[in-house]
Amino acid sequence: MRRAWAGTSALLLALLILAVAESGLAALLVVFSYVLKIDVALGLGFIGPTFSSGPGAGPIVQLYSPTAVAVVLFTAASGLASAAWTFRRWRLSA
Amino acid sequence: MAALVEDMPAGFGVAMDLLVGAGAAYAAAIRGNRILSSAAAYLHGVCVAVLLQAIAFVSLVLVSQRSQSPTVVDVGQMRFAVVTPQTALYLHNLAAVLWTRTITDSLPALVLLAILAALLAFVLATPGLLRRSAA
Repeated sequence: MRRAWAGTSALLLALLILAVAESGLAALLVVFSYVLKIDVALGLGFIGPTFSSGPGAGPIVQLYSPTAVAVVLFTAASGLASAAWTFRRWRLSA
Repeated sequence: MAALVEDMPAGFGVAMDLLVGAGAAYAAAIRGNRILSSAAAYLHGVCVAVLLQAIAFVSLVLVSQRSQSPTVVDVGQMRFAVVTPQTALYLHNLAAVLWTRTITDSLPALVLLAILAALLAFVLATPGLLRRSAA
């Protein structure tokens, strides 16, 4: 039972870290859209927020649903690969 | 411990020493536990992935600025991103205007790219630095 709870807690923590990381990435995109003077349009299925950096802005960057899926998968895979590598190669140093 | 810290002279160097020491102590404690070490590695991997994606985004904008036609990123039927230029196309006939525009438009992206690359190098080097400071 304790192992199940520990596993659930670890999974929830991993998902929370992933959500925070994706929020940070979205915030970075908004900041970049203002710094680079570009418009960013996200086409994520039924929602499509657009960040405009003002009139006379530069190019429009449109990101589609596969991008969101690829971003989440890549971030999770990178974190899990790093954790698995460390877990397998862990040695108690003196 | 609190009395010891209070007796120390106030100063930037002392504060930095305390901060670095606390960081090294936390790193040593985390490295001593397999699960905590793996969790820290997960966090590190996620940070690296976010920075890589931010670099990819800025690079996409930078590459698209050199093209007059829309830049499309797709794999087969799956479309990931499209960058559509929004400038007056007739200006691109003037080589001098194009050159000036490219330089001024690319500068913020290049600065951002340099900052992100420096951040990525720092994040990649942090585990080694912490290991060396603890040894």
